[in-house]
Amino acid sequence: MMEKGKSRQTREQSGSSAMREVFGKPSSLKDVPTHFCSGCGHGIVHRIIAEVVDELGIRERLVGISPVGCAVLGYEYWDFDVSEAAHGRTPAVATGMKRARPDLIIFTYQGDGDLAAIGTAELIHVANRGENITVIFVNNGVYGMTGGQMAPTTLEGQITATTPAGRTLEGCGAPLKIPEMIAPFPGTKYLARTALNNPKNIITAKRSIKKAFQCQIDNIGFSLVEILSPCPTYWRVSPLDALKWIKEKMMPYFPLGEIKTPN
Amino acid sequence: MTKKVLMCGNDAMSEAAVRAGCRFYFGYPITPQNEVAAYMSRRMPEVGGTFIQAESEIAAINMVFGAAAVGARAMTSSSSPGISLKQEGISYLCGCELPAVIANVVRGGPGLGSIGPSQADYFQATRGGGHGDYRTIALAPSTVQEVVDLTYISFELADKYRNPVLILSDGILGQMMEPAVLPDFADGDQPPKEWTLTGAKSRSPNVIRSLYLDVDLLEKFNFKLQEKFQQMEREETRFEEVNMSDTQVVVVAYGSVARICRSAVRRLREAGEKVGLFRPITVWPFPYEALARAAEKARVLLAVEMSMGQMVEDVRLAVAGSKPVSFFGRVGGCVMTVEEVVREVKKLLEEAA
Amino acid sequence: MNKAERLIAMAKVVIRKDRCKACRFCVDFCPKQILAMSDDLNVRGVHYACLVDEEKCTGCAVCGLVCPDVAIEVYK
Repeated sequence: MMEKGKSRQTREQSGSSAMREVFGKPSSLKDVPTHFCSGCGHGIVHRIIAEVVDELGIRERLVGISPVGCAVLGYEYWDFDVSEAAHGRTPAVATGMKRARPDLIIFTYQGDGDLAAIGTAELIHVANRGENITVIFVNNGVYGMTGGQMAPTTLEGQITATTPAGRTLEGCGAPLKIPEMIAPFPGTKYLARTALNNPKNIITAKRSIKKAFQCQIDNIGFSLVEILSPCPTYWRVSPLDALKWIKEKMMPYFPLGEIKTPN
Repeated sequence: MTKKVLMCGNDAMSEAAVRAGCRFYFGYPITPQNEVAAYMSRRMPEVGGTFIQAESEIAAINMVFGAAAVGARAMTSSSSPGISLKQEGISYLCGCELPAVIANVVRGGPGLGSIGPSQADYFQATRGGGHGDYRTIALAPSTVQEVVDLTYISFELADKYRNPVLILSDGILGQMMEPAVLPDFADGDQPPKEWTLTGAKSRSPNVIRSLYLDVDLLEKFNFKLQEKFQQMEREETRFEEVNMSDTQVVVVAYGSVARICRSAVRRLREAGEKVGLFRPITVWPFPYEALARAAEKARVLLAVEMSMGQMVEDVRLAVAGSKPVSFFGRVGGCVMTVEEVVREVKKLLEEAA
Repeated sequence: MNKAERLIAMAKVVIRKDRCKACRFCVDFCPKQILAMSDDLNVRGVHYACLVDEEKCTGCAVCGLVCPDVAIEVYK
């Protein structure tokens, strides 16, 4: 039978060279099924973070902070030190950790409510202070865990549990563009927006996450990677249609790219 | 010869914290405790510590959370409205079993209130202003020396129980200057904490969490917390009795009000009256048994507070209906005078005669 | 199949069917279009992705890349 394993497992095949695993579960990810919905982007982001952690070899000096939101159970999936934080306070918790242990690599993992609603002040100030931490911002344009309410990044016209007629600019304001908002702060060093809608963009997302962690490892300063992520359940579309939604609706408003890089 | 320094309560609290091994202070300006942040902003760099003026009191308590999670001795301070903001954070600290010290230099309330002294945060401090079944040791100093001594042990207590500890100061204590002896710097080596987040090297990962979706697990966890709180009740209750032998009226007061009552009791004793002072030093755990015992031979108790009557409820609980309990208070930042307390006690003595 | 094809065909995808949540990302993005949904159901009550033409698999691992549930291992 096929042996699954971390790397370089071989299997004899009749009359040919042995096969080895070229893709599998990263070792910093636990081998457990996740609670995420079918087609949810969190599964991909959790995995590519774990891959980056393995590739950079930072697992033993890493602390992750999970948000309040669908990703609260990060510690069930990641095989490294993790803390919860009160909703939105994640960057403040990260600040306390990094100041007390600057040798540790600290990252926050936040959704659009945690980061851009209740946590706006903490985000602005961790970025403005230029704390040498990494923020992974998973933007799926809704509050998933609580049933699909409007988020600060919900698009104009988007129907949610609290915008049954679609989000209007008047009354709700425009969706927030976070990396652009904090780019002017001298304390921000690497800011990128990526998406999960196709293999090429997933690879770019992983590359951005790696760059962000490297920015912290090299003591350059604050990094943030926004990732446009599908929520088929609350966009009320199939998983594949959710990927189309990212391309057709989100990317025109939230352009991909590196908004700021260290010079 | 031990050297005495003349310091205001806020400065003394800060220096005591530093000497207790606190190297992380996160705060936000609010009167009447701004001296703490100012002192720490100067002192922390001197001892290789860290000072941050956070963007809000909420951010500050969460920075404390982070520093505590990685094993540091961390502190924040604020005053009444800011302490209200910290309640979520305090609940989370308890739920995650994290040590921390939170100082409240209490001011008049409710709402924005006044910047004068008050004791109207007693319910918040002793009944937990945050959500859930939790307790925090609440230390109530009465002199600048006690501010020093209690702040100094608060970090040890926080670490001992993996639980936040509150220091209940007030606008008088924070601002007044008194001589105090400062403790020596605590030994640098604190006991190791295996539960902290320090990178999963040569061990399985640690997790700091308070979420337990399995309700049976959460119940079990709450029982575990209760065991800690019961141990605190057994081992950490502190109080003082002044002139309590042969007493007709027991005055119960804490913090700076206890100083005023101490003077009132002395004056009344000099006039031949049988009056004593019972002073809780921990308002949680409240010294219920000791107060009940002390009041056994008395005729009436008088709770004196800078509030509309909060500690008085614990006094009533202590005597369980066996003695009448009266109350006298001033609020809004107003402070009762020794004469006012004397007058109240005399009224009770007359009624009891 | 000639020798060149046989060598290229030495790649295989293993899908843990009970981890599959039927999002169909792998089916959609497979460059060789050799993944499809099963006829039967897994423990989750959904049709799961399967490799239907192993000989055409190049081991590119796009399927693994897009899978949110780490249900796919790729061997080459």
